[in-house]
Amino acid sequence: MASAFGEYIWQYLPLAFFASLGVLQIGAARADLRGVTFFKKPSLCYVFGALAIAGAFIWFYATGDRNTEPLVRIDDGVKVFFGETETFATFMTGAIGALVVTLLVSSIVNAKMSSSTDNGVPRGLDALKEMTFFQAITRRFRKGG
Amino acid sequence: MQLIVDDWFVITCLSLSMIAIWFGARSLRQRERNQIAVWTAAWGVGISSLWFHLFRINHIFDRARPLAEDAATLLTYVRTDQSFPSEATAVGFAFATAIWIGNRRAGIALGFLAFLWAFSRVYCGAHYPADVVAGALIGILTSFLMYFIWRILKFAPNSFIRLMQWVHLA
Repeated sequence: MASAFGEYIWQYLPLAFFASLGVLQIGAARADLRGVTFFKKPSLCYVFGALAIAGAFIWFYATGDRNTEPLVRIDDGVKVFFGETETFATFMTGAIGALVVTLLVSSIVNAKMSSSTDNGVPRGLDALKEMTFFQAITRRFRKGG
Repeated sequence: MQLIVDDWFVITCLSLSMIAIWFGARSLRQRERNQIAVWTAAWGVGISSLWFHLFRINHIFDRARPLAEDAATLLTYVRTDQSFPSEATAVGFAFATAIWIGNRRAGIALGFLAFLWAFSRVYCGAHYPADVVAGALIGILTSFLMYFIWRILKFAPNSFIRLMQWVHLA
C-alpha cells in the first residue's frame, strides 16, 4: 500500500535533521572548529556524531518498511513517485534546520569561549576556531563588516 | 542490498557527505577546493534532475521497468514510470564526479557508493543495465559540464563562497 506523502516527509525529516546534526559535530571536531562543537573534547563530538547518525538511521528503518512501500503523491489522479530530487529537497530542509540548531546550541554552550575583543575576526570558518558563531557575527557587525 | 536499493539510504549518505566535505577540511586550501566541489555537485545533481523532470528524457524511450506487476517485490516496489535512463544513477554519479574533481579520495568513495546504487537497481529489477549505464553517463557528463561552466564563470561560485565566508559558514 502506498503511504501518504506528508507522512513520509515527516518520517524522513528527523533522519535528515539528526544525521546532519551528527555529521556537523564530526566535521567541526575534525576541522577544529571549537566554536561549533557541543563538547570541549573532540572525542566526545565524534561519539555524539556517530550516535546521532546511527540513531537516526536505526529509528528511520525500524519505524517502517522502506523498500516495498512506494512513496507517492497524487497529481490530477495520477500516481507520481517521490523521487531522488524530492528526497534531496527534503534532506536540505532537515540539514539547514540542523545547522541552525548547531549554531544556536554551540553559541550558548561555548558562550564564555572568547574574551578578547581586540583581535580582528578571522575570515570564514577560521573564526569559529576561536569564537562562537554568535560572537563572530556580532563582532563583524560591530566593526562594520 | 536491501539497504542500498531503497529510495533513502544512498541519497541520504551522499547528501550527508556534502556537509562533511563542506565543513570537515583541515586546511584552508583543501576547504576551498572542497567547497567548490560541493557547489559543482549541487549544480550537477540539480541539472541532472532537470533532464528528467523538466526535459523528461526518460519519456523519449518508451521502456517499461524490468519488474512485472506480478513479480515478487521483496527488495523494492514496482515502479510504473519509464525505465531508461536511470535517474538515481544519474544523481549518484553527478555527486561523485563533482566531488572527485575537488577531492579525489572522497570522490572515489562516493563513486563506489554510486556504483553500488546502480548495481542494486539492476539487481532488484528496477532498471536494465543499459538504463544505469546511460544514467551514469548523464550524471558524469553533467557534472563535468557544470565544472567547465563554473570555471569560465568563476565569479559565481567565488561570490557565493565569499558570501558564506562573510557569515562564517565557509
